[in-house]
Order: sequence, then C-alpha cells, then structure tokens
Amino acid sequence: MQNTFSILVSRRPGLLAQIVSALVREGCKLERQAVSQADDPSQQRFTVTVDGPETVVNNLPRLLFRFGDVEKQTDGATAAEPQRADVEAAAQEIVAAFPDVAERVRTLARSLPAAVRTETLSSLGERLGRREFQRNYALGSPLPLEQALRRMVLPAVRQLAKVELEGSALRLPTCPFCAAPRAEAPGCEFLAGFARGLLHASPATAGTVVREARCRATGDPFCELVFVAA
Amino acid sequence: MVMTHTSYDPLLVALSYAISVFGAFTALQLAVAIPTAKGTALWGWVVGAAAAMGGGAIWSMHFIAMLAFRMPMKVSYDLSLTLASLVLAMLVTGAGLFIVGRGKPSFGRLLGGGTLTGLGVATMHYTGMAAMQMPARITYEPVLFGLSLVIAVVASSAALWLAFNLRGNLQRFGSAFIMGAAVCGMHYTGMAAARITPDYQHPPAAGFGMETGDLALSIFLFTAVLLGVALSVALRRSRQVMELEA
Repeated sequence: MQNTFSILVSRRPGLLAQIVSALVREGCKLERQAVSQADDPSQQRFTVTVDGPETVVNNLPRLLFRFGDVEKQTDGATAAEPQRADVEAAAQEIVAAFPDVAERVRTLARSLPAAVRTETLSSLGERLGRREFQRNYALGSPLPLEQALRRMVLPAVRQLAKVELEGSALRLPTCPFCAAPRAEAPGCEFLAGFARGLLHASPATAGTVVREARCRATGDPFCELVFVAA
Repeated sequence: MVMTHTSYDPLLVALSYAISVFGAFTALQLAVAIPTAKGTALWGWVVGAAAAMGGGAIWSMHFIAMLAFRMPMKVSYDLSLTLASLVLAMLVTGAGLFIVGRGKPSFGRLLGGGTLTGLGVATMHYTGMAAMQMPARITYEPVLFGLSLVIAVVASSAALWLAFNLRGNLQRFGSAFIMGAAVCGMHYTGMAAARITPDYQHPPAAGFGMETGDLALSIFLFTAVLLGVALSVALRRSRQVMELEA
C-alpha cells in the first residue's frame, strides 16, 4: 500500500535522517521525498511517499507524530492527524528523565483519552526499551529468550520498579505505574511496551509476545508480564 | 649452565598487566559488535578487534614484560621475527573472535574460538622469544610449557564467554580483566618454563636487531595510537546509534 505523508518539522540537524531511519526500520520503501519551506522560517515541511504493508502504513502517523505534526494525503485529499505536540513533549521529558519516569508516565496516562491511552503508553515504552537496548544491551551474541529475560529484561526493568523473575514471567508486587489498586489510569502498558522494545530490538527475540497477565489496577495482588517465544 | 641471575622489575610487570587489560578492553568492546554486524562493517569490527587484541593486549604486553625481565646479558630483537609475531597474534586471535562472535552461540564455538585466541597468545609469545638476539640458547621445560598453553586457552575462553554472553559491568570489565590474566598468565608461565643457557662461543648474528630502548618507545607509541583510535571509533558508533533511537 502506498501513501503520502507531510510532516511539519523543526530545522534540526539530523532530524530528516531520523525520520527516514524510522520509516526504513518499519519495513517501508521510500518512493519519493521532498523538503519545502514552511510558513514559519524555523520549520520545514518534509513530504514522503512510502510503500509498505497496509497495517504498517496505517500506523505510520502514530510513529511519525513524535517528529512533528503529520498530515496524511490519500487519493489527493489531505487528512489532518490530531496534533500530538503536547504528548510528544511529555514523551521527550520521559525519555530524558529515564529511569525516574513513573510519576511522569502516570501523569501522561491520566491526561490521555481512553481510546488512545493503551497504544500511546505502549509505543512510548517500546521506544524507551529500544533505546535502553542500544545503550546497554546491544553488544554481544543475541541472547535466547530465557537468558534475555534474566540478563537483560530483569536488570533493565529493575531500574524502573521492584521486580522478580518467575520462570518466563516478570512479577511486580508494587508496580509504580499502576500507582494503586484500581487506579483510574493504569500504566502497565508502558512496562509491557518497555519489555517488548528491549526484546524486539534483538534478532534472537524479535517475535516474542509480551502479555499483561495480571494487574493490580484490576484487583490482582500483583502485576505480571508473561513472555512467550515466537 | 642455566642462567639464574634474573629478576623482574615489579613496576613494569604491573604496567604489562595494565596494558594487557586496556588492550583487551578495547578489543572486546569492538568484538562484541561482531554478532550483529553486516557487510563491510563486519570485517571492520573483526580487523579492529584483532588489531587491538593482537597488537595492543598481547604484543605490547609481551615486550613490556620483556623489558621488565632483567638478566646480565644484552638483548636485542630480530625485526622480521618481531613483526611476524605481531601479524600472527592479530591473525590467530582475529579468527578466534570471529568464530565466537558469528552464528548461533554454542559450546563448540566458544571452545573453538577460545582455543584459537589462546593459541594466538602463545604463538605470539614463543615467536617473540625466538626473536631474541643474545649470546644464549633458550629451551623450555615441558610441563610449564604445556601449562602456559592451558592457561592461555582456558582464560581466553572464559573471557570470551563473559564478553559475548553477559551484559553490564561483568561483560565490559570482567572480560577484560580475565583476558588480561590470560595474556599475562601465559607469558609469565612461559617465562618460568624458559631455560636460558649462555653460549658465548656462538654470539648472535649482527644485522637488523633493534635495541631495547628504541623498541620500548615504538611499543608505547604504537599501542597508545592504536587503542585510542579504536576506542574512539567504538564510542562514536555507540553515540550515533543512541541518537537514532532518541
């Protein structure tokens, strides 16, 4: 499926390279790209036509919103995506504050509409997980799932919360992202996304399924993430 | 009659260990990129790691340790054998790192790669000993000679396992300290195995030998430049990847 996106971005060195890298990483082929002047001289408009699987192309606005305001052009018409400047600003703060992120994630979760909360928190967690992988765990032989859980996921999540590894499950007795049982806006999606980002960044565990088996916000005694090899 | 009036300068012995650890740290920081590297980048990491390990950790350590070895006899070194020992160290350890780093991790790969890396350490040492030009003959006590090989292989295998399979500080620093112990352990056991017998009736051939002082300066310059460049490359790569993931 082919689609054209127009993104209003700041004139930051390296930003266009980051956008292209993100698109290529998602498996998209870049058919055309152009850069043009925006009304604001501190910004520029980056228009790119991509070709990729339908599910991937349809999700690209959510991937690209962290770079700027996205407009998707389909069949000549322009459909404006909701502006995500505030969410992206909060996300950037969370990335910069890592690993001291629990309160910021809870604040962000409370501010999001229920319809987009799960996906936004999960994507943010994945982004941080990928970053943490590159920073601390990328070098060395790709670890199979059992070793990856023990040597990578467990120490990485320990930076965020008290956690134990029980077989192929992570158990959090006092998950800081849920804040309290029956929390109004539980945030386990962030933690699941973080673990997913860590595992999917490695070729040996790229297809691992990460599932929230239990959550204190729904009345369980602890939060639990379960990992299943692809 | 075997020479017995030999001793070691403790400061230079400590320096030899420090240089082997630093060289091993640099080499392993480059080598752990081998598993996921592709195309020409792969060979860049292999060559860089081999140069840092063979040249920095092993070859430089050997000659600084030889400077630490005091005996009542003037020694110079044959240039071609000295260079050959460097090339051999890089080739053999590079092959070992490649075997451990590529493909699905297994005990067989670890054993094969560890053996090659350990033999690379030993090959460099005994070729370097053969490069010595002095009025004496060197023979080796077999048990200690064999032990030097075992130490090199076992400690190299352990260091490679740490480097490729663990994460965090044990991976980064533990592997370097153990590889440094492999190189130094092999060297000093090999030196304990050496029996140096003066032979003034057959002085060494004159010609292209290097004096110890010149060799020392060459070693320090070579090592400092090599390891500095290698580490800066590894750090820059790491920063570039981090910027893409921000």
